[in-house]
Amino acid sequence: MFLRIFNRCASTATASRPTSFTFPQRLNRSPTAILEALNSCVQTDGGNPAYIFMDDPFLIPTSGHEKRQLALSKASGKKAARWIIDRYSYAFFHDVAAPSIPSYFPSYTFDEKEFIEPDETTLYKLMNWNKITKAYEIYKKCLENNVDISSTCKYALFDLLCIYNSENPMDTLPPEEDWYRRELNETNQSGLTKRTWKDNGLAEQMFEELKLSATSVEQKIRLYNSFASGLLKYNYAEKAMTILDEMRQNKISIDLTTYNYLLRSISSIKESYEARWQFITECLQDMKQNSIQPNLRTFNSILYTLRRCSLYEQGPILALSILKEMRQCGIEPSLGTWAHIIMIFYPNDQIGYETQILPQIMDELEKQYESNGHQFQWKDIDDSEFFFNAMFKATVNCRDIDLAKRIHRFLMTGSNSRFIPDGFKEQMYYANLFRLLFRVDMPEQVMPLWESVVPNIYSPSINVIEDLMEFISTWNINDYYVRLWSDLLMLGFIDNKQNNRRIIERYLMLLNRTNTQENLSKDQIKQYANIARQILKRFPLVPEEEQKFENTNDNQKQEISEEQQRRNQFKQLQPVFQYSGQLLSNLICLLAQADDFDASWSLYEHYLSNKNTLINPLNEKSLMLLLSLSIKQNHINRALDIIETINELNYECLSDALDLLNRNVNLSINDRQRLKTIQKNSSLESAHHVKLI
Amino acid sequence: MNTYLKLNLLGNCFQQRCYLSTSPILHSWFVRLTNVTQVNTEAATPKHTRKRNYPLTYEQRQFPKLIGHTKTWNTFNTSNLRDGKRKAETVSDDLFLRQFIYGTWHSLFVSELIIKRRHNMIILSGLVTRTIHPRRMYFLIGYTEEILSALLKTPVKIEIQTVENKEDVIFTYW
Repeated sequence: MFLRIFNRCASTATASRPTSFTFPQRLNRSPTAILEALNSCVQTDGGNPAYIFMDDPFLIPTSGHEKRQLALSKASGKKAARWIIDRYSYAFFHDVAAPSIPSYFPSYTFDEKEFIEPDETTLYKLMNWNKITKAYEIYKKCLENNVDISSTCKYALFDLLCIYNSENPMDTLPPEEDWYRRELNETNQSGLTKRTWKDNGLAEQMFEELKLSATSVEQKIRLYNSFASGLLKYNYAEKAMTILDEMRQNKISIDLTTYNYLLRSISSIKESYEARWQFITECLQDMKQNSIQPNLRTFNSILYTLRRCSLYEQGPILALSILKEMRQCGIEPSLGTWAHIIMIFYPNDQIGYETQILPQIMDELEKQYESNGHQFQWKDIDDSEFFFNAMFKATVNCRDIDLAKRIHRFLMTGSNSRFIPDGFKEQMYYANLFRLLFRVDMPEQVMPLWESVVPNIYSPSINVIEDLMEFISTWNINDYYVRLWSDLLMLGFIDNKQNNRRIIERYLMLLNRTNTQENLSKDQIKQYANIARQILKRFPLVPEEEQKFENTNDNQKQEISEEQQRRNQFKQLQPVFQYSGQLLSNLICLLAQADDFDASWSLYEHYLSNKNTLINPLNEKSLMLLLSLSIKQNHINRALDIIETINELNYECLSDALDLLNRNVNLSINDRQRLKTIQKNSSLESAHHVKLI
Repeated sequence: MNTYLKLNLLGNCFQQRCYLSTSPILHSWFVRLTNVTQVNTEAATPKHTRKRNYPLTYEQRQFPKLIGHTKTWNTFNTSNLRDGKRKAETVSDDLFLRQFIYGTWHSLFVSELIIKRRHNMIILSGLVTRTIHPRRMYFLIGYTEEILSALLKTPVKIEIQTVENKEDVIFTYW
């Protein structure tokens, strides 16, 4: 006991305890620090549906078409709500939030009074609510009524007119719709630089006005600069150049934004590549003389211009020197910078493999990612192009699986996947990735990746699915055939469209090809037969309505609910699925192997009754399988029917068929006679060699 | 439904089909006061119907004394803790939310609406039948989220689960 106490005392005595305690210093964190910390734990996960969708089997979309439909209907719900909010705005002014959140309030409705007796506050309000053209109208009215407007207000209005090309800016779309904006907005899909500046628009009118009234140098600088950048932004280079000349003559200094726009649009000013580079250096010299510090946007614009000089020999070297310059200026390259560099080094599909620039860029990026505290920030608009470009070039030029996978892994880490800005780019990215993998890689490595992405992150298009089928058939992965069927179902490829018919046909071919090659286990045969049955159930041989008229009585007809009627109407609108002989014979093969005589016989009968309209006859293999099954199950008459059909079609396998039936013991005399007549009538020589009893 | 049970009108309507609703306005005060079946009634504890064929959901079958044992609350918030804020407002908001969902998702919700308040967010969840196309369901989701957040000035999010039909939520017959 004492010993224990002694020990305890000794242990506390030996541990040197500090006599005074100091609290650790309080770290000052931002109010959103905890959210940021949480965000850094989150990773893109293919196991769950995207955040905008409900996590519920009924509500999770799988095919690309469905995803689009559901996301857009959610967006339209939001729009409907917005409309209600604006319409009955009086109900939504109850403000409980502190600080109050402007985006939860209805948009401002302007009084007639404000327009009749306009003043500066009205102008500001109009500008805040994105009604630029109306603001210009009111501005005019103010001038007429001799209302004083401060020059700051005037110049703010002018800036907005230049920025938005004398139009009202587009409303911001809800995020769901924004993802599909490329499909929805028809304008400028090709990505070509077209002149979109409005000639004699409001901006130009106001420019002429303000030019006369501008007195001080600062006003002039602002006026000219915003006008020039507006012109350059909407690709009206010729006029911009005259304005810039005017500025030089009047000794009005050019600011950084204008320089950036200028550097970006050099490719539409100068023709030859040398001249373009010359112009770039001139601009930079100008900037240096006026002691304007370049920013990230400046360098990205230069690279953008260099990228437009495709196949320019100096391009890569100049790009590297620009990168070096960036380092010296202490500007960290953003993803957009790298995106441009990739395109400069790989100007077309063949060139650039030797430079090995892409792996180096990836090294560099990963280092940058580490040092930035495991996240990237959006710094430039061009950042959105990086992943698409990188994957495109890694698959087309480098054809390097490891590199492609590395890029993909990088995309999946943290919140990097937000750098793919819209659905179209994402489709292209994954199409490129999987095309390469299907062409080069092994199935053991591709399939896990495929499963991690499909269907929640990526819904493949029909071309990619066809590539997948090709891939599976060349590698002959038996285990994946049934899985493929469920994938096809899930991704919405099993329906009545023309393209999708092709997929069903190919899939059945695939199943049958393996059937002949090797002996399948019983389970697999059963599964394949089930697939065939599913196809038959989905696309009935006889249209459903006809069946119904036979079955239902008058009383029952009345009971058919409205919903069913609607469904029927919907079905009538769709074209009936057209079976071909090829498809039918494939189905017969699958069903006959699983010993399902009734189903396969009904297919055969369907063929006989529609012989004249169907494309392609049944093939030998299916007929032989059906024959052997019918003999096995003792349907002698039917077997004879089949042999007659074989004879009609002049197939080589007639002799085998005769032989097969001949060997059967319990044939009656009539049957044997029928066999003999078939043999006599046949034109094939081999058939005559068979000795019939 | 709770109100419905409270009034204990089940005795009168055992022939009716399962009627799961949140409507507080059901019957007149006269019925409430003069019905014989009102003797010995308890709140939210229904009496057996004569044929014992009135369907109850799990949530309805677990009577109030079982809250915290076999079922939880229908609304989760911290306003009733010590120094909790917006006590009255939270209750009235909840009432409003239930009414709104009852009207907007008409005859779609088969369970009570669960209202969870997390940070500054309100999360609405519950069970919904699959009687309408997912497209329309997403329209409703977008609409409800947007309009409710504009009304309550706080982000509202809907997290629903679906069931095949109303019969799927029947726990017992009473």
